[in-house]
Amino acid sequence: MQPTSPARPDETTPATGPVAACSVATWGAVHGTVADLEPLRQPNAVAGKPVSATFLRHADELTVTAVAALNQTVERGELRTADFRAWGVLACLPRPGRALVGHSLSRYEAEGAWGISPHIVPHRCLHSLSGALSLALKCEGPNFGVGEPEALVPMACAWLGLGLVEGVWVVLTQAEPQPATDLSRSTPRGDTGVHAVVLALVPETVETPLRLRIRPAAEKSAGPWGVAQVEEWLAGGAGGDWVLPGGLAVERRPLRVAPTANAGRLQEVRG
Amino acid sequence: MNAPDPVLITGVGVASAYGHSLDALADGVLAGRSVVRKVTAFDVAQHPSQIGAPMGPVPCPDGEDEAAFRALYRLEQTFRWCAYAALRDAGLWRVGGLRLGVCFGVGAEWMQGWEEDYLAGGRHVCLPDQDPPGVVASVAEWAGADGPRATVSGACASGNHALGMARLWLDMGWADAVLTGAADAGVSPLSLAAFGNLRALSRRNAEPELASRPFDKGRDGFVMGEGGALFVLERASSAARRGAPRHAEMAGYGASSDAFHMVIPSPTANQAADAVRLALRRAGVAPEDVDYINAHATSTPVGDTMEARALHVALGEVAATVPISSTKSMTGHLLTGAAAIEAAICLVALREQAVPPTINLTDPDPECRLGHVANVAQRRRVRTTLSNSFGFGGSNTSLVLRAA
Repeated sequence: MQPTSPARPDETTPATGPVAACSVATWGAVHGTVADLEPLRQPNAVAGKPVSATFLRHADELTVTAVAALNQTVERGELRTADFRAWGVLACLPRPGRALVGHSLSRYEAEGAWGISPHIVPHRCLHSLSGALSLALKCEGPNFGVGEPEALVPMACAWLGLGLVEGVWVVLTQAEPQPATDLSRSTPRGDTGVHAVVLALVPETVETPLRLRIRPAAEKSAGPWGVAQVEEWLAGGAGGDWVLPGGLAVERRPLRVAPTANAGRLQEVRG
Repeated sequence: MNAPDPVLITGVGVASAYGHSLDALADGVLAGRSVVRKVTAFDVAQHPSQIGAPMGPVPCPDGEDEAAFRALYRLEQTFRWCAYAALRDAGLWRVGGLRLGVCFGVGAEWMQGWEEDYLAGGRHVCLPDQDPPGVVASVAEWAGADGPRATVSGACASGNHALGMARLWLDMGWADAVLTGAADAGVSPLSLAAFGNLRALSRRNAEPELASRPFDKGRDGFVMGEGGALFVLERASSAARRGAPRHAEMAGYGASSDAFHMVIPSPTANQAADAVRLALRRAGVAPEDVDYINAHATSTPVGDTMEARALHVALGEVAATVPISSTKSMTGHLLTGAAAIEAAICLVALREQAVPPTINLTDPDPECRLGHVANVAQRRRVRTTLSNSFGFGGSNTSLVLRAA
């Protein structure tokens, strides 16, 4: 059944058209340092929904940051009473767990297997953030981690465009600057920057101030965008489209004047 | 997902403890042969669980420099081998002129890479600027794939999520073909210790081949395995024009979240049942038309019971009679790679018209009242398969494959 020589692929496939779009119900961002996070580890509620006091006890620093950004976004979007059961979650937790993994490897050498925390797997993998947010928000749509931030919005648009979910929480996180770590500590240094941007995306038929549209892109991607660049772009401060590897770009299409003050320091959302 | 132009699997690449081909995998699972054994690659004396199903070295793809290949992390070697094998099978190895997407299920690549480097004397874990590119970017560049690319992780459900997303890219017209699937190379000191301390692993250390016993009353945890599979997905019309292999139709994918707990499945099993129902509905398949279920069942007391409950909720009375097996009884649990290797095993069932068994099923748990294929493979008509995969973070997925 296998072709004897590699045939050329189907060359009659039509060029990609404007195939997906979504509306931004609300969005928000926070910035801070690891030193800011400790008071945020015991929230009573996330997005207006009660959570266990231990919900973030073992979570990594970027998950705590993302929850702070989520709370701020829900508050600003007046979504505290919303029901997210039919929503999905897509979240990027880049290179998770560096400090804890390094510390654990060192402990393993010194103490053997019994020194290793059982929490490292559920809380320091690519899926850890999306799983935690899905749990907190009571989202019963799909949740998974995505390694490339630029892939998040097209994936969400595909879900929405095909009617698979009613909404999607999209979350980008980043540790920047991320200093070199040593093996003696299980958490990053206090001055490590932590950043998160959260978007609540809904079908394009829902009228909101801002829409995102996926279009075919002939131009090359200029490289991955960090949280700050995405935030600036969402706020209308950065020109151009978010060009992704693989021939796609995300266009920002404001319908009305978009809010410009969606970013805050972590301190603003405490309590 | 009921598009008029179906999506087919036209290429398969496998890495497994049986060997690194679909044929080797087929021979192993249809013979009911366990690959679980005592772990010898490192000292396990202090580990609560001392057994696993690690892979041997994966082959170096033709034309590649062997030394350079062996310098890659084991996980990347595994992906590269599977990518090469799948694309070659599909007749698309380094064929230009198409938008080839890459979507892999990978959950812990950084943890595994840092550990491997550390054990070899390196300290990349301390030095962010020395991190290599991720495996998706690396394999996409190596294979010349210039379509969309993404790494997805829903823990042990990652492979099904990757296949589901690849299917969406085709549905949206964003790619002409997609290389997708998942793999894991996680039988390492840190993972064995972490899962062991989580009390998730079997401690039947004296009887490795008997340790993984899904649905059996004597089960006491899962056994870690290694390997995975990659697939080429493309439209049937494109495959027909190229004369490409037709391994199966990717007929349906369903996904949901428990929103209950990070590691414990929801006791109601309602959301897992939703994933099964969604996959069947998108495939246009009625419960009585399913010929084989490859269960997620990992051999943990809670998880296997939950899956049985989910199947009864989703399928009704049919759940007690549809032939079902958990091939993790033989392969161990491949974690991020599990869904993909089990999709490959479903291809084996479709190709061979045979259902692999759940081995070590000598005393079925009455709370798992299902149509078990116990201990010995069965020859039977297989046209439609359903494969469940669930994961930490509450991820539930189901995949329906159909003979093409």
